[in-house]
Amino acid sequence: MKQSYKSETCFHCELPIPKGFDKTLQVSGEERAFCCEGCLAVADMIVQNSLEDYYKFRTESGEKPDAIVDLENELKAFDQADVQQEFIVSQTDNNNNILLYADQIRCSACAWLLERTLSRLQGVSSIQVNVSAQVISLSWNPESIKLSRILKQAHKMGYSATPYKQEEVLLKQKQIQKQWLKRLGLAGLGMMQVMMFAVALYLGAFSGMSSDFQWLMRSVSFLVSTPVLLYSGYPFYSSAFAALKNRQLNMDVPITLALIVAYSASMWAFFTHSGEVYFDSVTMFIFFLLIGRYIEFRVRQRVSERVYKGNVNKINYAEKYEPDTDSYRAITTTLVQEGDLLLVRAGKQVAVDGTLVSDTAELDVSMLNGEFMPSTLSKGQQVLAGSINHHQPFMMQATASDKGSYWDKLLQLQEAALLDKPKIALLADQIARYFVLAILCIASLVAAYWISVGSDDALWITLSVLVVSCPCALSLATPVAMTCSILSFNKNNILIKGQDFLQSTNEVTDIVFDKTGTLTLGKLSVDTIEVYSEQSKDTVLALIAALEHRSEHPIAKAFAKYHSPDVEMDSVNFLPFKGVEGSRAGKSYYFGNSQNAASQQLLEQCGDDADALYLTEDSKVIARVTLSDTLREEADEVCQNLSNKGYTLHLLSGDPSSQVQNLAEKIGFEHWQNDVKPEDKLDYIQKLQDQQKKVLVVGDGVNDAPIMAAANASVAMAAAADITRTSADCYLMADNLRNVEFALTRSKKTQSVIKQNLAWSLGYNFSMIPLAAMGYIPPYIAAIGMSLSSVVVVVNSLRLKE
Amino acid sequence: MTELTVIWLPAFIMGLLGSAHCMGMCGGLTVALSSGCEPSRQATLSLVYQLFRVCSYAILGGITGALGDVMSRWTDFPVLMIAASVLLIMMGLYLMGRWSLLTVLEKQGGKLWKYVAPVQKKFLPIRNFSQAASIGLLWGLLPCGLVYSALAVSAASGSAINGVVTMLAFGLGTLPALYITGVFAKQLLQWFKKPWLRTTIGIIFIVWGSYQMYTTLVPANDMGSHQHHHHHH
Repeated sequence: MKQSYKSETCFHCELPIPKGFDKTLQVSGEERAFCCEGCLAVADMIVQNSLEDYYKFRTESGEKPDAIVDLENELKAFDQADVQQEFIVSQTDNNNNILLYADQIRCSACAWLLERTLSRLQGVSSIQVNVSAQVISLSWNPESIKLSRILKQAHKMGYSATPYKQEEVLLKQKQIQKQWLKRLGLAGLGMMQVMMFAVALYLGAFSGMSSDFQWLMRSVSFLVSTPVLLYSGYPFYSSAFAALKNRQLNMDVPITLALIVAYSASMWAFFTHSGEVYFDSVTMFIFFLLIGRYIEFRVRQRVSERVYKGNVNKINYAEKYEPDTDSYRAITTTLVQEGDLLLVRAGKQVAVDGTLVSDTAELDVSMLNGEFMPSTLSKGQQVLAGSINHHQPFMMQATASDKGSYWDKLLQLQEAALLDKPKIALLADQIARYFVLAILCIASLVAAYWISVGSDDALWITLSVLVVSCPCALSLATPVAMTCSILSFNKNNILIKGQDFLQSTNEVTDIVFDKTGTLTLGKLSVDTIEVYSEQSKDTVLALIAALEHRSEHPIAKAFAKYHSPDVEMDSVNFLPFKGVEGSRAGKSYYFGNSQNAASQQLLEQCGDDADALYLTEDSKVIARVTLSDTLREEADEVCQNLSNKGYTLHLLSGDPSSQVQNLAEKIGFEHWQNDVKPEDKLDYIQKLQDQQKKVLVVGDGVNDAPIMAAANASVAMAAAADITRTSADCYLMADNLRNVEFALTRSKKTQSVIKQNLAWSLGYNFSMIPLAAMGYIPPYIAAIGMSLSSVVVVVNSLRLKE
Repeated sequence: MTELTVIWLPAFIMGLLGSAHCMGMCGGLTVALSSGCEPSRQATLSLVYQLFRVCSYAILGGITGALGDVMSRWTDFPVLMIAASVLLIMMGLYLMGRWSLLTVLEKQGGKLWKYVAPVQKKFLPIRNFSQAASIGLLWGLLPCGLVYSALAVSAASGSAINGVVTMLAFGLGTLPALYITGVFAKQLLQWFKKPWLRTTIGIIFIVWGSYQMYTTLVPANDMGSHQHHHHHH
C-alpha cells in the first residue's frame, strides 16, 4: 500500500491521498493537498463561504488525534525520568535495564527478529526475549538513545512493547483470553454448523437431494464460514503478515496461505457452481488450530504469572520515622535512603535491608529461603527485605536502598534465569526458521506434481501438506520444557543463573563437596564432655548453659538446648576472647579456654588442647568440653543416593582436623582430602577435568569461589558468602542438601523431556509430510494432527513443573 | 428473492460499504456550513440535507435508468451490465488507492461542479429547512466516484423505476455512515484510515464486479442445465 499513497493526507477528510492526484487549494493562507475532486469541491465551498474556521475548530477541539501521533505521545511519556523509575529494574551509569511486555511475541522467530533488529539500534546494550513469558529484557544507554525510540521501533515491527507492569499484563491477558474464547467459540459453532451441512451434502449426493436445496446449504455454509475465517482466524493472518512485512517467514505463513487458498477456491466453486466446496475444512482448520494455540496461550499465561510473582509481592511502601516531628510517614519504597529509621508493623513485610534497632523481632523468612520456622533476631542483627514481621512492631535502620536489597537481587536472578536463552534453544530456533522455507518449497513441488498429473485433488493435497507440516511443536519443544523446569526449581527455592545450568549438570560425573557449611551445618554442638567432679553431665551442661545464656557467640549457641530454668546464675560477666564468668549460690564459675582456666595440674592431666573448653568451680576444673560441627541430617542419605546414581563423590576441606576423615568414612566418600588450600582445590578440579570428568562443585565459603568458576557447574548453599553466590551457577535459597539431588535429577529429566519433544516433533513432521504429499491425509486430519503435535509437546513439558 | 430485492439489496450494500470513503468528505460538511445556527438545529438540518441528497440520487437514478432502458433496446449485448461491472471493479481499485477510471470520471464531474457551485452559493450558509433541502439536492452532484459507479448500476437496471429504486437504496445505504459521522466523526474516520479495511472493502468491490462480469459474459448455461436437470426429476 505504501507505494500507492503519498505520505500526506487529505486536508479535508484526512484520508491518504492517492498518487496521481495533485490538486491543491489555498486554505487559511496555506496550500493544502486533497485526496479527490469531492474533497476539493467541498473545501472550496467552505473557503468560498469564509468558513475556514471550521478547520481550525476541528483541530483545536482536541478530538482524538491520529493513532500514530497518539502512540508517539504515549511512548514519549516513558522517556520521563520519574515514569521510567517506576519500571526500571536496575540502573548503573549509563545503562538502564527494563522489562517490556508484548503479547505478539509468539515464537522463536519473533524473539530472533526483535533481538536482531533492536540490538542494531545504537545505544541498546543488550536485549533478550523470553518467548514463554512474552517478555523482553532490554538494557540501553539513556544518553545515546531514548526509550521511546526503541519502543517505537518495536511497534513498527508489529510488537506493542510497553514497560512491564504486573497488573496491566494480567489485565491484558484476561482480555486476550476472553478474545481467544470468543474466537474459539465462534469457530466451534461455525464448524458444527458447516459440518452438519457438509454431511448432509455428502449424503445428499447419494440420495439425490434437489439442487436448489444443495445450493441453499452451500450458501449458508459460505455465510457461516466467512466470519469464522475473518474473525477466528485473524491471529494467524496478523502474525503471518507481520512476519512478511519484516521479510521473515514464520509458521503462520503456511497456515495463512492454506486458509486463504482453501477459502478462495471454495468461493470460486460456490459462485461458479463448479467442483466441491470445502468450507467445512476451512472452519475445521481454524477450530483445531485455535485449540492448539489456546492451550499454548494458557501455558504462557501461567508461566508469566509465576515468573513475575515476585513483583506482585514487591513491597510498595515503608513507614519512615521523622525525628523532627516525632511521627511516622508512609513513603514509597523507592524513596527509602540508607540510614532511614523505619517502623515495621506486625504482619507487614520488611521493605529494604537493614539492621534491627529494637531489642528483638521475630521474622518469617520463608519468602527468602523457604524456611518456615520463624527466626528470632536481636538488636543489631541484619533484617532482610521480604521477610514478614510476625510479632510486635519493631524499628530498623535501612542499610540499603530499595534497589540494593538482597530480596531485589534474588528477584533479578530469578528473572535473568528465565530470560536467558541457552544454546540448545538457539539451535532449535534456527531449524524452525529454515523449516518454514522448506515447507513452502515442498508444498509448491507437491502442488506442481499433482497438477501435472491432472489430479482434481491437487489443491487439497497441497493444503494438507501446508497445514500438517507446521513446525509449531518443533519451536516449542525446547523453550517450554526449559521454562517449566526452571519454574520447578524456583518452586523448590533453588535459583539458577542461566538455562545452560540445566545442560551442564546433566553431564556431571563427579561432585566435589566442601565440608563446613555444606555437609555440616556450620553450627557447633557438644562433641565430648569429661566431668572431673561428682556432678552429673546434665548438671554441668546446665551450669554452662546458664553462664552462656545471654551470649550470641556461636559457642554459646551450642549449649542453648541444655538451658534449664532451675539453674540460673546470680550474676554473669563476659570476658572478651577468654570466656564467661559468673556466680551462683556463693560459688564462682568460669567457662572458657585454657588460657585462664587451666591450672598446671590439669594440663598435665589432660594434655594441652587448644580446641577444648573448661568449666571451673571456685578455680577448680570440673569439666572439659569439646565442640564439633554438626552434620546435616540429610547429608548421609543424599550422598548415598548420589553415589548410587553413579556420581563419584569428593570431599575437599580446608579444615586441618581429623574430623574430615571421620566424616568421609562415616558417609562413605571414596575421595577425600583435608587441609586443602584454595589453589590446591583448583588443581584438584582441573586434574579431574583433565580426565574428561565433568565436575559439579557444592560449597559455601569464600574459598570456594574460584573453584566454582572453574567447575563445569556449581551450587552455592543458602548461607554462602556473597562472592560465592555470585560465582555459582545455582544457589539454594533453602538450606537443604536434598536440593542438590533435586537439581541434578531435574536437569536430567529436563534434558530427556527436551529430547522427547524434539524427537516427537521432528518425527511427526518427517512422517506426516510424505504421507500428506502422497494424498493420504485429508485436510481436517492434518489440522488435528498439527494441533495435537504442539499439545503433546506442551503437556509433556508441563510434567517438569510438577 | 423477488426481483425488486435483486435490485435494491446490492445497491444498498454498495452504498453502505462505499460510504466509508465519503465519510470524511461529506460528514463534517453540514456542520461546517450550518455553523451560523444553533447546534440543536444543526443535527436536524444535517438530516434534511442528507435525505435530500438521497432524493437527488433517486432523480439521477431515474434519468440514468431511463437512458439505460432506451440504450438496451438498441443492442442485445449487455453493454450496460459490463460497464457497471467495470465501474464496480474500478471502485474497488479506487478504495485501495490504486489508479482507477473513477479518478478520470471525477475530474469530469469536477468540471460539471463548476457550473453548480455558483448556484448552491445562494443557499449558504444553511439556516433553515428550505436551504438545507436545496443544498442537499445540489450536493447530489458533488464529484464522487462512488455515485458514478452506482449510476452505472442503475443504468443497467432496466427501467427508470428500477433506476430510482437502485439509487434510492444506494443513497439510503450511505445514510448511516454519513449521518453518524456528524456524531462520531473522528472515531469512525480513524477506523477507516486503516489500510486493511480500505483494502478489504476494495477487494469486495472487485470480487463483486468480477462475479457480475462473469455471470453476464457466461450467460445462464449453468442455470439452464440446472433447470434441465430439475425437469428430469
